[in-house]
Amino acid sequence: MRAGKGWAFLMMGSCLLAIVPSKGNAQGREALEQAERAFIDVDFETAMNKAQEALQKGWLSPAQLVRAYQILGVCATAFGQPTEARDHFTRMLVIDPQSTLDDTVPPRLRAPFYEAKGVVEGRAERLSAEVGLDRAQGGLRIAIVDPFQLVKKVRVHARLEGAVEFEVSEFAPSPELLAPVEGSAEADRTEYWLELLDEHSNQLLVLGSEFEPRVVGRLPGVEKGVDLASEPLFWIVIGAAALAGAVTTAVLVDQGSKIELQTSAVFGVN
Amino acid sequence: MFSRIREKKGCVVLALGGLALTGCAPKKVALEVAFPSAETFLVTQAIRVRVFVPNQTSTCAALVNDAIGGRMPMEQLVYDINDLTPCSVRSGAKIPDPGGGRKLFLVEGLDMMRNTTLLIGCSEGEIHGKSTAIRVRLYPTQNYDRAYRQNPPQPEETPETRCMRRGV
Repeated sequence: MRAGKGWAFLMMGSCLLAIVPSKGNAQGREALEQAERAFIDVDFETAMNKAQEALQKGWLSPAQLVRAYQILGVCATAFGQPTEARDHFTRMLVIDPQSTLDDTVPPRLRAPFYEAKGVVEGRAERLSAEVGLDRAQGGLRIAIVDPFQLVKKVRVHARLEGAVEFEVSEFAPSPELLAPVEGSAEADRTEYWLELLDEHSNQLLVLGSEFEPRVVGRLPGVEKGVDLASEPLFWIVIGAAALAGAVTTAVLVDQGSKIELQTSAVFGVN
Repeated sequence: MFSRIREKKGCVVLALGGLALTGCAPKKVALEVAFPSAETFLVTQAIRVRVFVPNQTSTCAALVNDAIGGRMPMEQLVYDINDLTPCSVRSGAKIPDPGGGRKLFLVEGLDMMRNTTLLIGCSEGEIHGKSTAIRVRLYPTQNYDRAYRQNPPQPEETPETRCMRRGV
């Protein structure tokens, strides 16, 4: 048990750094902190109960959620509950496929983690969401990939570029859904941030944030610049420079990188 | 004799300079936007050019459908140029090199507000040192007739007079 205390402490030290403070419910965070403390003391029963409580209180950030599932997975393994442990590790890896166990976790407690890794990596799809602007429908079109059916709610915060307040709307999960945003059909750009939530409103995936929202809409256009190639002075300068190292340059320059497109208009479709 | 040598030197310098200029000058590839008629050119107020990387789902046919339906595969987008007019296209606007590999060139003719597609066309092609031109043929959408009725071109107006009046 004393050896176990050592690895638990080391693992917690590394994982605490990954926990990002969120706007979430303080009770959930408090329960998770209690689970961490119990985990350090190798009080797996309390750690498990508190981590479960943290999950049920909800509002955990993805990093906190990963930590909660990690504690639950290790504790379940220690209690000889490999099926439960695999389920917790699977959820942990779905949220963060890069998450891993600390080196100090003994090999005997690692099997369920590797099984879970195999389950998650065996699926080609990853938990993800893509958002595009659907002008015709006047809203955001959201495509969600949720191979393990963990998402129970989709919360969308959207505003037209320049507006102060986000409009918040919630949806039942669906592979594709439309979040109406008033005025988005006419606006150049719409800002949004998105949360995919589990049944307790814990954040499984967050795209953007209130302070760094993502943007969809028209990209800034490319300004039509001055046509240097048509300026005689330009070619005189180029010619002078070319005389200094002309032949070498001409041979070395990659023609492929010097292509530009120039538009023209013709009439009649033949 | 010295004057002859000087003359030859001059020729060599000029030849080298010419070679160098040929080597350094950017190659221009034409993006030809084919309007169905001069009338459609006059009714169209703005041009949008988007370049996409093709894949199994992003084909020209799918892009045209998506554009008309207001959807777009943003992850396939290379760039989006939305500040062109028919006259600037006619006068030879420069747009960036989309990079190597095959690309889909989606061109839309828009109304004054730039939010209604009046003409649309798409062409697949690759830009490289030996490319000559990419031609995108535009076809009227269901919005065209309404736009024509709302804002018909002046009688006797031609693309030349329109663009000359606008100084393009």
